[in-house]
Amino acid sequence: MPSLAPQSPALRFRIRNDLSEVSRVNDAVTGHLERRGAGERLVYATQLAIEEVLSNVIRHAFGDGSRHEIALSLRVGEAGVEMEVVDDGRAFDPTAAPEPERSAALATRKPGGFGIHLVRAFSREIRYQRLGGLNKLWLRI
Amino acid sequence: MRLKTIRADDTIKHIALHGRLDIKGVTDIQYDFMQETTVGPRPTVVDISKVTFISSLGIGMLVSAAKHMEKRGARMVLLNPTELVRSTLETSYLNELIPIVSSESAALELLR
Repeated sequence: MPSLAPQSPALRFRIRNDLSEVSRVNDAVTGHLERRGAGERLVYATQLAIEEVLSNVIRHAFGDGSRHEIALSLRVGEAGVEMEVVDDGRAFDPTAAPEPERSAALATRKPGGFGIHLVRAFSREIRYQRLGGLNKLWLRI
Repeated sequence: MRLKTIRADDTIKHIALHGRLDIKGVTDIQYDFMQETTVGPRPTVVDISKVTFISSLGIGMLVSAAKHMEKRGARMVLLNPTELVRSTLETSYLNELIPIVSSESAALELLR
């Protein structure tokens, strides 16, 4: 596997609050990471973070039915992937979200609720800030 | 995302999923997957060796199907995930609720 190049210029996206946008972003980021020699696990973990964070924002951050823009920027380098996601939705701190319920039986298991848990498990560092009415989530993967 | 039926008889069903179980993949496959697994459910092997990615939405699809099956007395076993997909399933504790095995013979043994 080729080693990762020194930190690349940031890749930036402006994303509509529409779930169809998630695949577009993930396809572009995957190509970017693979061209820079990122390993399979780093690519997978980055795809997982993008899918879970963006879908969470798109589904839950906006209750007004209006169009919103989410900003995502990403850099890849020797330290891995650094990603920042900024949205103007309601305040939500994923780093403080409770762990999902660990069911003892299928009957009591909820189908959802594990997205943030997966992001935390596959990322090396996550920070959150609420600043000027914006959610700012920063991840190192 | 594709679904292929490998075997379907009175005693067992064996289906295989190919592709990415992300938002797009689940949207593509969810109806067919639920039909295959929950209508007249039988013990079912779901071969996920060709699933290259799974998100919480894909895990939710597996949970929904397995719950419906269990209510009707049928079990699901997941066969041969890649290392990264297995890691995602285990991080979500899904392996504690739906068995994950590495061979078809082990799957059939569990469903017997």
